[in-house]
Amino acid sequence: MKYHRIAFERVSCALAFGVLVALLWMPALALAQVELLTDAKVAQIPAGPQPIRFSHQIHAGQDLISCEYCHIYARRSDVAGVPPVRICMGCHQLVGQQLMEVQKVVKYWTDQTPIPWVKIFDVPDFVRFAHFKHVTANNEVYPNGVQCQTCHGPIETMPTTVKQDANFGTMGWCLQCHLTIPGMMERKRAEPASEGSAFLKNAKTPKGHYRPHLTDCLTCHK
Amino acid sequence: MTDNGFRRRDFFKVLAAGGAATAVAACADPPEKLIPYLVPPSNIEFTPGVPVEYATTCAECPAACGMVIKTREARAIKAEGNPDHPVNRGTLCIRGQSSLQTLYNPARIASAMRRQAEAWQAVTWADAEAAFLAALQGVMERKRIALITDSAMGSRGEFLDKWLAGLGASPKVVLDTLGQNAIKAAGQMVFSRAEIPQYRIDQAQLLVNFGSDFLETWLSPVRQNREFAAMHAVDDKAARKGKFVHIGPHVSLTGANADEWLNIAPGSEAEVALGLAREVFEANRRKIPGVEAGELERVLQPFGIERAAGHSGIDAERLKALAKAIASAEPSLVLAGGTPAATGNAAGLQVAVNLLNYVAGNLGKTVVFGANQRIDPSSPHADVLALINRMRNGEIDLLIVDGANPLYALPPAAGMAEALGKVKTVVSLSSAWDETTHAAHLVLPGLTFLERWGDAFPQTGVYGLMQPVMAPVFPVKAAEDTLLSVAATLGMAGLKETPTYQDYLKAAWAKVQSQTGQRGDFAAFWRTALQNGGVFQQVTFSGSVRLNLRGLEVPAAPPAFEGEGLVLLPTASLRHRDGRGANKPWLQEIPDPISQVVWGSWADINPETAKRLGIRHGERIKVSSPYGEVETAAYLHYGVHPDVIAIPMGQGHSRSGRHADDVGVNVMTLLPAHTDAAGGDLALLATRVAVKGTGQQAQLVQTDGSPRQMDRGIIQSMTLAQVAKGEPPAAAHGGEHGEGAARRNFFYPQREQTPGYYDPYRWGMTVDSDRCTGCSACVAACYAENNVPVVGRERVALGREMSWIRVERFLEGAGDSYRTLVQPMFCQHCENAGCEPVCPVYATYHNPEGLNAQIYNRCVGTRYCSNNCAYKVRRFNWFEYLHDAPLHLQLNPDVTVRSKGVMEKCTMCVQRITRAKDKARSEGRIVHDGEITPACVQTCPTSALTFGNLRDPGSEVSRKAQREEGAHRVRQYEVLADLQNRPAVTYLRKVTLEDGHKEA
Repeated sequence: MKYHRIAFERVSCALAFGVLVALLWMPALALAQVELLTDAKVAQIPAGPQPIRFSHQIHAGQDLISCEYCHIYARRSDVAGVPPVRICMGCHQLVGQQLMEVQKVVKYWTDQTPIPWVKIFDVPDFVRFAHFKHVTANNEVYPNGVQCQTCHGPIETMPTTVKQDANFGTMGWCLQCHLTIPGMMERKRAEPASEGSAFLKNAKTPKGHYRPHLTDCLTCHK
Repeated sequence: MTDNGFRRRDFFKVLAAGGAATAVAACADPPEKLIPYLVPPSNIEFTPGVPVEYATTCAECPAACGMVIKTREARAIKAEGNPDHPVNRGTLCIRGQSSLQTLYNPARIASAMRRQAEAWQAVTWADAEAAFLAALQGVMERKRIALITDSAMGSRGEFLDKWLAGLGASPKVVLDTLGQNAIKAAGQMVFSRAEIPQYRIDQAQLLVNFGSDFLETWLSPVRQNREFAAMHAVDDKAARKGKFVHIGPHVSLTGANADEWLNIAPGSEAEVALGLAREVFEANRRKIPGVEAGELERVLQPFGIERAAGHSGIDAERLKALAKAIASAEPSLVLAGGTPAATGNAAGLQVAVNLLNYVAGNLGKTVVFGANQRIDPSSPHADVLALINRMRNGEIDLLIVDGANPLYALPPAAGMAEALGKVKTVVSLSSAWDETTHAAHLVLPGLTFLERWGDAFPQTGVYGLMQPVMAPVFPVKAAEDTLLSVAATLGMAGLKETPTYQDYLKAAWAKVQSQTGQRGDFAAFWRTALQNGGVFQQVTFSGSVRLNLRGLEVPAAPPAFEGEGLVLLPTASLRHRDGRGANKPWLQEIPDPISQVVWGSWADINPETAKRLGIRHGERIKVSSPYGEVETAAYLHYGVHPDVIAIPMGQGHSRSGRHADDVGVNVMTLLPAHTDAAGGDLALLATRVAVKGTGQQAQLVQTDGSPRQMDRGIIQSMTLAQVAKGEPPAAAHGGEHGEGAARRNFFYPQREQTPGYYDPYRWGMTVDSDRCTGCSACVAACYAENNVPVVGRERVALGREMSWIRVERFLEGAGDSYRTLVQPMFCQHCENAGCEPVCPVYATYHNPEGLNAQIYNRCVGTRYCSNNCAYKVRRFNWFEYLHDAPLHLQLNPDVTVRSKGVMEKCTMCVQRITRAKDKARSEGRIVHDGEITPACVQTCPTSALTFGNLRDPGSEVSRKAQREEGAHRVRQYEVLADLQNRPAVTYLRKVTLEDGHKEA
């Protein structure tokens, strides 16, 4: 067994800045009043409950910034990672400081306060969803990983990030994809597989590796 | 009717509106917040969602085991042993596992506090430090400043000495009521070596133990558990095992593991040891050099077997046989210690045992000097009493309390309470509230060992480092740093240039670098040491010591006990040691493995004595000594001498937090403050007590149903001769319902032959009952790993404890020849489980990898599964159980926190299986054997548990389980095999030296 042993000194300063996910339940924030912006496109964004009216349409759609530029852990962890404020400031130190919404980011940065984003894509607490397993998927249906949009919707077209599919995060919705993997439809219930079924034929991937049993409850339920 | 202006119809309107509002609110969970980092950690290995592990050293007891703390998102969530550490080799005990609850103790002090009359007020740290400084400067005569601490591990002792010397204050006092000074004193008397030798239990063929609880708290319990299993567990190939003889007036967990128990009169240990020594000396005389033989003859001359038999009440023939066995064993080992040995003549017993080990030829073989074990840094008890005396005489103006809790730990007869009242200023640096801190005037709370820097040198060649594994839970400062900050202000020579304790430690470790002969850059050495948890060297000790008996007088006469009645024996608690671990809910709720009592105290009384006194089991009894009185529950126990009443230490707190206060009684209140003059430890076995029944029922909560197996064969045993012959016991327990019958009648579809199952994995475990000592570390590990809630005494009394593992304890026989059997029981993950077919909602089912899965959000709580489970391992959440702050910070994010109305049970740590499979899959392979270790298997000090893939014939678990029909199955059995559940857990029979006792 290999342990990653790390001298505390090397990360202690970073740890001091607080935790990734606050577990506190918070009431929905009241709708903020719409502020008129000089930038016409931004002005069209309806006000949401978010502390900053962030637009994926501008960042991902128009400026073609790759998802993983900001969501840095998607390929190596269960969580994709909410962008650290420093990543925002990496660009906004140079661009967009005349915009009111960007000025809010700057204020958070100068106050050294994290931005309290409201979570939109949520799965229940009894589910283990691993981003990296999906981003790095390699099978007949998803040879190059599952695209972000497959679950999150056409995010690059969203001026305000919304959950377009109301079923997001429900079990049937997850299984829509899991059942498309060869053999899974034939054994979607926890019962013996029938002799000669597609499930048994597809027990291994074409490369000869054991295929994960994607319809087993314990695949997602933790 | 409507006088108050509120009519019935209005009431219903309000009710309806309220209901509607509730219904609307319940439609969706309120949105969660996503709080990003401001700056991502620069360390490339640090990824949210991926655990980071830090190596550190455990400070729960002075044994100083190596630890690896798993953190998630900068919070410590699990403690495991450091596999590279020579003391514990990757395992931990129950207290080490529970160290996370020291860190997240709900009684921790969140800020600096000051007492105004009886009320505590939070003050700013700067104000508190200024007040501390003013108090220090206010004492003109610096000798009137004293410090009492509970930890002088590693460099810390030297640091405190330096600080006190710099101030000109009195020397420090290190308080441990379970001190080991007598061993050192006896080493000095007999071999001119004032040290605790290394006892190599694993090398012994015969282990003779005078009272010590070496599997529980004495010296280094994790190491001793491992070595005991190596010596005592059966070697299947050679069909060989060592013998363990326990001598003492009480059987705790350690004694319960013995092959033979000599129930001697309390305090007669030294007589027995010297009698045995005389007999062994006669037998081995030829092997002992002439000069030494002459000296030994003189010293041992007055003693003998007959005299020992007279004092101890044991048959002389039995003692003779034991002496013969000691003389012929190659080699043997004799230990003495623990509370039964802590009489007013503790040093005399240690001298006797040294002589016995010497004449038996064990020196240099199983008793090795030169290891310089620094397991006990405690001050002689006389120093503690001297400090109290000075306080009482008004000679101390300022007392600094650093972690120690003398007000609780010392007998009230020592006069600590009165003395404390005479001190002008008491400053506490403790991290959590306790009795003594409540009596202080000013508190500058310190940090727990998981948040601060430190080190420990448990033996020559082992240098353990302690590093903070997370940012402090509360914004307070380590005691060392508080002292350094004061030193800087006072301009204390030698310390004023040291800004933090980390710098002090680095300077100390520069010496370690040169001592260990490591050259090169210190920064690189330091980083490597931090990553490894210290520096561990293989050192061979010079075992040669010379006997020095000139002028030695052996005071062997049994110590006198004050008063009338039964001799009071306080026993060190496996769970709370001397009481410092009491405010940990896990430790309160995990039953004592022998008594199976939770959340409380009890008094072990021999059934004969109880009959004589007219006391029932569970009756509330009054125990009174000349010094105090307590009321507790009578526990009828064969494993106690008829002249003894044994009460465990560590309970009965009054101001140590809500999980400790008013739970049980503090046995110390019955004790006098006597010291063993020659040895220097507090005499714990010192008084007799009057015991009187009250006729009322006490609140005694036990988790065992029946102490007897009723012929169900749950824990099976066989003799060594049967193992040697390779034949399982003819009619294994269960009689005609044995395994043969089970196999013949099996008509269910076998999943092994069913397509879609067990390819490539079938997870399974083996439990070797011969290795299991019942230490319960696995239970604590399971609580920590799986977010198992604690339910409290009332709910456990209703049978609603939530523990996923229980250590089952059964008794066989009666009287002095009774036998205790222990073994862990948890979900058996049956192939043909009783729970699965009765679940109406498919919440529990058989997973393709052989796990009996439980899907929490699917469960509607019918509890049919639990009713149909033969092993009674399923637990139901009757309530939403609290993890009161800050204990909730410990919760493992990989495991669901279960809510009310949901059934739960062992998952074989499926979260660990999932992670290992993820890793294996991304590397294009299947999981290797040994890659997955569930929390219980990981921490087992004796390697009694094995986990792995039963489908892989080469895996360790397959080798041990040997499931194939017709294969060599001698010790293997399945619990309740005749029920045809076909469990995935195979048990290995316990092996006894003689034929087992029959049910009484």
